[in-house]
Amino acid sequence: MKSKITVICFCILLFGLTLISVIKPPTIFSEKENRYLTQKPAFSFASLFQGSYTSAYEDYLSDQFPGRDGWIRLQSRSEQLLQKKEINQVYLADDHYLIEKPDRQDFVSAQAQKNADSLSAFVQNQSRALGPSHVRVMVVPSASQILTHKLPSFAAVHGEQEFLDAVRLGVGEEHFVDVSAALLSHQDESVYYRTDHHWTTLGAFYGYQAWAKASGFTPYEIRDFSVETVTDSFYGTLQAKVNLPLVPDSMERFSLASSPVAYTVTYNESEDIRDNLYEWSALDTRDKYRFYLNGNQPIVRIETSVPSGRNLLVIKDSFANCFVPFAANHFGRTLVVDLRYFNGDVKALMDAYSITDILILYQASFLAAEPSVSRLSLW
Amino acid sequence: MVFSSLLFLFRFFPLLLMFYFIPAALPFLKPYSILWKNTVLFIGSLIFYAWGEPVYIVLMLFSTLVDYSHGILVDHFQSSSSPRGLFRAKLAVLSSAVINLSLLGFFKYSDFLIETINRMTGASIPLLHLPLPIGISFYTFQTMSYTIDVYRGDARVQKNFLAFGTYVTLFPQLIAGPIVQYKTIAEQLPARRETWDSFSYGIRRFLIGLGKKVLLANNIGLLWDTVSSIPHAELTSLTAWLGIAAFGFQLYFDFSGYSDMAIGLGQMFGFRFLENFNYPYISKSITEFWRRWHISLGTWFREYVYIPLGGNRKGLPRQIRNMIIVWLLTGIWHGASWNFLVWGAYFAFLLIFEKCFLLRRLQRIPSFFQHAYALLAILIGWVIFSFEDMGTGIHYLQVLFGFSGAGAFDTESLYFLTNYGILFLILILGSTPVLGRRVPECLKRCPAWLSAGLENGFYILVFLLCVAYLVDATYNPFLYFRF
Repeated sequence: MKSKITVICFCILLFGLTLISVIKPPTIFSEKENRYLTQKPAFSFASLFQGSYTSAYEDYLSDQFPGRDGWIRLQSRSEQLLQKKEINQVYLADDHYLIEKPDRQDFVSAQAQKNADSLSAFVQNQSRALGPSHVRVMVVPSASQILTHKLPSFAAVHGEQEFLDAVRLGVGEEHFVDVSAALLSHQDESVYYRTDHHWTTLGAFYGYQAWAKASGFTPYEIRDFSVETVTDSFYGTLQAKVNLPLVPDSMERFSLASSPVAYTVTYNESEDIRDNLYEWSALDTRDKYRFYLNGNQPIVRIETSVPSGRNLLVIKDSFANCFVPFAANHFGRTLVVDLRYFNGDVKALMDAYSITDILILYQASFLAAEPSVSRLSLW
Repeated sequence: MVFSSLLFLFRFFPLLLMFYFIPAALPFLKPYSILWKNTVLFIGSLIFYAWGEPVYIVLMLFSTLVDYSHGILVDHFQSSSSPRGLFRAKLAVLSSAVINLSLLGFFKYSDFLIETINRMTGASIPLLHLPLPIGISFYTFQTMSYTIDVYRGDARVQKNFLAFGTYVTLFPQLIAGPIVQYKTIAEQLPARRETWDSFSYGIRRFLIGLGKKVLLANNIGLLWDTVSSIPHAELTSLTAWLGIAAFGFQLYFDFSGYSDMAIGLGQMFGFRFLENFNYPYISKSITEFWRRWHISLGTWFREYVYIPLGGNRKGLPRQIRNMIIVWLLTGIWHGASWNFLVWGAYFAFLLIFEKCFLLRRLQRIPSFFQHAYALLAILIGWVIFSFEDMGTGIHYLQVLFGFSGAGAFDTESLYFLTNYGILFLILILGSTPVLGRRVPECLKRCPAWLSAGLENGFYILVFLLCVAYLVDATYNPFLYFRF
């Protein structure tokens, strides 16, 4: 009797799940994973013998498995029960914070060394051309370096500080903006998102102040801005990685209340021209962070009504997207270049747009790991 | 294909069960039911093996054919029982061994040999870079043992190719053992009964194995991955101990989990495989450890190498020589690299030392110290086992014992300890008979409905959790908005 119960339970589960997975209509896109799911591969003997059919079929089976999100939540839950303090390289930190655990290999890799060297070479060259006070480097530390008091006990992140020190030394003290110190003095405020790896607009504001002071001009104060919450249902990359139910983040927009500035924003050299720095339609999608500067674009050119006579080039990753709106208020023209998508000649761009100032803004582990950074040595 | 995949669980396995059991129950197929079942198993096993790597199936079929024919030859020559016949039978056994060992040698050891020759002579013979055919170390040993057993009279010759092919290719044990000797299942090939009891035992055994692999081995494996990627100069002693313990647990739960799944699947189809693990980490000596770890491999080497060499019957010096041979072979069987040879030699040394000197003295000290000695020796063994580059392995040993590295412990070690603490507790409990034997004994004393409910609930939970972890392993958020 007992045996029969076991056999029947098992067979119901096994054949039931099999049947559902066979008849379930395929899902095309996973919002949560932000990617298209694998569809059933077409069978051919050629692909079977190459082994490409079999691996495609396995991808299809797992991507289309019935109740996929539910299974993943069950896994995350059981990891929590085991008192795991990290899931998929993300710390489950205090106060409902998720904090990414940077990979220490990233900071000691050959790529990291190459990137740091390329950056130093670029900074030295441009410093000679534009003057030492017109070139600045900002490396935004990962949240794990700033929100240390929220990390699980004994959690320690290795390598990043050493890498930052090496970069600082390489580019020269006078060019290096100490973002870490600026953020550390505000570590009790919401300078990073709880569910995303980015700094918040507030965090970017503190970074902006540090940069302005280091560049010798007076930044706006927080009271000069009107702060508006544009969404309170933002789930970021870290939430996607751990896939636990969490309180969503809110995203803010800082706009100058005291002396409004007019913008003309040109995306990718006149493909698309707008009069503001934000992509409102992104707020209706899962990838809400694209709100700032319409996500990662190869080139964004911002012409403003500010009579400064100076033109800024920002070479950056996505951490600059919410930072640039602050910086643009001080320059007649701001050119934002993302080396991952822009394959052209930065020097030619600088000449064409009469660049007078340069800011290189990257997040630390990205600066270490992203291959396109090493192209900086070309200029 | 592997058992711990959605593909096996929700495509291959249900289909195989249906093909195997439903037609065999039809009245008009009754007289041919064993023929049908063996055919399904044979074809199913070939598909299982060929999935993803179809080419090497030829190799396995070749090895099957070799021993099928050699078995018949041996039997034929022996039946004449003339000295000439016996000599020819001996030749046939030799031929089988040579062919099987050449296959294994060529595919598994040629690059190792070439590298060694290159290093010793300064030559630069190009490496072959052959991908290792899955399961070759297992099935060559199995087919070889069959021919030898026929020669020795321990097994009857199998003239039905389907039955013999079913034995060699039998998917539960094909890829990672246990090494099933032909004689142990010879009677089940032509006639076997699958019952509710054996099927339900098979399910439970399979789920235990799946859980060991997916829930325990894979998870503690993450710790070993992390620790082994830390540069040794930054490694503290405690972290290194946690790392190598994690590796030991990973290996045990992975391998014994695989054996459990094999034994369970065998039961579902009416086969009784012998046990392969018996709580090896509760051993009080290395001698005992090797009676409890990968039993089918130890048995194989004992029956086909150690005893034929004379075993312990020809005096201590000969016995020591035989042990050294067996353990060097055992070592190199695990992989084509010097560290495995050293690993084998390490155990040969410990076993001989125990036999000649230590074992008698060990028994006089409290059992706590016996366990401590055995575990220490086993863990040091795993260090040798895990680092193919022996320099790295030696450095790791230095860190373990505080001669190198970054001190006794740091916050990172404490982090690992707290992060994996509960998992370690489960692993320790799972390595002892407490969960596997004591708990079921206690359950027997409960009312039948309660114990049935608890047990089935437990197995269902394990199954669901395994599916969750398997689905999660493919969870792959594409973070193109990353940075």
